[in-house]
Amino acid sequence: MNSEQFDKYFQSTLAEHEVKPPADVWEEVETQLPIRPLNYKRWLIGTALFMLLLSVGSMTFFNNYQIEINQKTRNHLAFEHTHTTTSTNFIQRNQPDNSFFKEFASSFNLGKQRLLNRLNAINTSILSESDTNSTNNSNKNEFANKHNGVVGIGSKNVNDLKNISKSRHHNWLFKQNSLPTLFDFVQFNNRLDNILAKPSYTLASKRTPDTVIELAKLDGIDEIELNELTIAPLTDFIKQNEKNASKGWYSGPTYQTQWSWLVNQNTKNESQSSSANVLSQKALPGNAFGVMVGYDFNKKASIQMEWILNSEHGFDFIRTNRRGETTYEYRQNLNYMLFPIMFKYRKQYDKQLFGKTMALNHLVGLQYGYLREAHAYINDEYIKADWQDRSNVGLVVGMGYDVYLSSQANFSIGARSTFGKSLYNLEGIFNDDQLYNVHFGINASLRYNFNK
Amino acid sequence: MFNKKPKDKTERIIKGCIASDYKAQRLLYKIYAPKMFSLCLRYAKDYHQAEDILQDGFVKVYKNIHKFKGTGSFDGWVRRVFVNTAIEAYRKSVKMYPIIEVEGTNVPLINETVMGQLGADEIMALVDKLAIGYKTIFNLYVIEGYPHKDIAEKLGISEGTSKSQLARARYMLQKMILERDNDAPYGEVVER
Repeated sequence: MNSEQFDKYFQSTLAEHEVKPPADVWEEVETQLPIRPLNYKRWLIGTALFMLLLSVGSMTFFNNYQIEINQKTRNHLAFEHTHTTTSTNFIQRNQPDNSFFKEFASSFNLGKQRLLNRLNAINTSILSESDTNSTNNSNKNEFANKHNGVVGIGSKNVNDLKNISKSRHHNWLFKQNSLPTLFDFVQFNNRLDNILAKPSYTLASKRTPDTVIELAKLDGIDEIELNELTIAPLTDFIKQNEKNASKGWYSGPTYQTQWSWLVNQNTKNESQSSSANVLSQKALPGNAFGVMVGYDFNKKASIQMEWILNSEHGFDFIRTNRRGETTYEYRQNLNYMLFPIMFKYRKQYDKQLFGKTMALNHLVGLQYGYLREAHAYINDEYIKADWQDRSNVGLVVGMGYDVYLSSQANFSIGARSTFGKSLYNLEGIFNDDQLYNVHFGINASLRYNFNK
Repeated sequence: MFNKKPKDKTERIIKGCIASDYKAQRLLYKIYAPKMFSLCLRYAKDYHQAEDILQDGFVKVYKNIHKFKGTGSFDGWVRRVFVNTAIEAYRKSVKMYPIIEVEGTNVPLINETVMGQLGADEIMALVDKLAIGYKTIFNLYVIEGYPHKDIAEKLGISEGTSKSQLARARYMLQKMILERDNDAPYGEVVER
């Protein structure tokens, strides 16, 4: 047998030879399987559900609140009615001295509601007499004159009251569209908090200036304002007024506490299928702070840019065996500089919390991130990582509440989530799927409005 | 044999492992572990090192399986990963077991009948008795089919050393085969 034959014999015998390995080798292998983060679909579904629930919840809460108030208001109209018919200037003079009304009004402690109560009461009194007597304009004028030009807005039903109470940022515009009252619009020039202390309002009418002035005189309302309003086309006045009241720059500090997870696009994660080992990911919370600057296009829409100087977060992958012992731990701490630019949509509600007007906001935008620092550890041992690519772009979505502290200052609190491609490129730590970063943060910010 | 199974099953396992699917990973281990453990035992200096090589090899397979492009057999790719892992282990232990240049080689001649009497386990045991340097080169050249040039590169030795070590390994193996039967009626070691 020559060497070649000798070799061939060994080759054919040993190449396919098998030896059963010890059972514990697989267990050891299992503890070193590539890390596979959670599926990002969970984040997408979770975030969408969270935002939907919060939005629907807020709307439901506010709507229920409104209906409840209005229904209660209606219940007390009859009671108010007995006090309003003899008043010459109900809004300013007829402060209800009845303890029942006081109790009712103070139970809500809402200036606007008190005002609405009064307006509704006035209007009801007008309607009741007006409907009884006649429905044509001349009779209404007579009626108005009889009552010294008392102005009222309101409705016979709750749905109309809801329309009436639709409010706008800082200026309160009540539109009555179902009643043939004297004035078409009542605009209150101050925050409602101030209206109670020092009433200041503007009335707009489609009537001739002379008629309005005459009526205004009867009611003791500032003539100049009325003249201006009636000279300008009504719709233009409203548009211009809203425009001026809401446009402008704002700026302020922002802060966020945030959590971060690493996810991928696969449908299963390791912990779902492994019986012997469990891989869990723990988000390491971090803080972020920076400054923001924004521009309000109108009362609802803004664009907001932020410069987050220092944004820290991290995560910890821990693998435990069936005995609950930690067999592997991968930890990463990151520090980013972030530049989000977002479109913000705001919906203001009548509901006040702690006596402050609030608005629900939604935001969506893009965020550029620059990785400043990164530290990675395996079983507490620092590993040197090559972070060649330090820039990424992510999607930002969020929502929250704006609390109006004054006409110049707002406080915002909300939740924000970002989603972007990950920069993690540590060979052998994770499987080869494209990884994504998911952040969730609770943020708070203060803003100062420059042009208001 | 794995490569005789339907191709789509192999592909399913590969795709599953790429997606870190636990069942696929477990199945791949089940299919390849016995064969690869045999390979590890042939390269390792002892049983425990073979276990370590097996473990490291599988971890490498799972972490690098996405790099398998489908050119050539998956069997061969897995095997190469394990051989490379074994060589890494060998290079770490080479400090303890340095390859010594052998001057002159003795090539024994042995007949086919003698070889035919040897079972696979016996052959394994014989290979295992070789010094680690010899058996590494013998395994690489004879079992895996690497040319001396590649072996020299992998082990950081000269081609000449690879050749002489191989010849020495062959000689030792044949000598052991003949010595297992004291009568040695089927052949003799010829010095040349």
